[in-house]
Amino acid sequence: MPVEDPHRIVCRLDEVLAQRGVTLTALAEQIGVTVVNLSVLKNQRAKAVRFSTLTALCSALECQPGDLFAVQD
Amino acid sequence: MPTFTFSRADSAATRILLSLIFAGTALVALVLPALAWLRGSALTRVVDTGLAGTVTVSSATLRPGVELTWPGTAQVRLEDPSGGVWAWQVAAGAALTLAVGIGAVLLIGLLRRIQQEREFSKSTVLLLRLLALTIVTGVMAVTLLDSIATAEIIGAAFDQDKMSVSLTVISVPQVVALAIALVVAASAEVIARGERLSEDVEGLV
Repeated sequence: MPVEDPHRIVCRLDEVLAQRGVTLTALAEQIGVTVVNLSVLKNQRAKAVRFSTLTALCSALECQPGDLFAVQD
Repeated sequence: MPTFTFSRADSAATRILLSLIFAGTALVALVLPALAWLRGSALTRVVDTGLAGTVTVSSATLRPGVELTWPGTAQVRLEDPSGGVWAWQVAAGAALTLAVGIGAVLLIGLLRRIQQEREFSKSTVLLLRLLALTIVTGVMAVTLLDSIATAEIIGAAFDQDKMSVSLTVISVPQVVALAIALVVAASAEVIARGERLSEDVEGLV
């Protein structure tokens, strides 16, 4: 699939937050990312994620990147 | 290090200033000459006559070894100028007023985008390119029309057989204005690049 095509990545941040019983605000405070940016991620409006953000998310939620993101068919 | 912001108050003050500059230019360059023409008043203007000479001053006034030279600039007063002479005066003023007006509108639009933090946008690039174009065409048009207006005055004031009339094509102020236009055009390309980069990072978490 060419890079120019729209992506099919879905973010399951809301599911992981629900499983861990963590709110978006608490997560934002913990990892130092704004609530606005986490909302962008949670609501499938993000176009790119920094590795540093991904590392912080996985550390805080004790999960792997594959738990947070998946490719939609 | 202090940071500089362009607040709404700054934006409003700048708009007022630009409006005053436009109003002043229109009044001096266009309205007053047009009214003088309609009233049939005399036309008074400082022009470069192209003449030059040595000024004779009494020895009691001038120190030894000093010579005064008249560069040829004089205030010419035409009691009954023709419609053609007036028309070129007003045309030059109209061109200047139009250029200043368009430039002021473009600048206000540009400053509004900066104040709204929408600097890196396609509309900003367009405004900068139009501003550069306005400066270039405005300078060329005003220079040409003003030169013709000056030549008309000299032609009306002096015996044509004994005078040679020249048109100013380019001089230092015009070169400076064209350099400013180049800077503005280059800034437009920088902002265009920034707009593409801004699109790349939009939605980046």
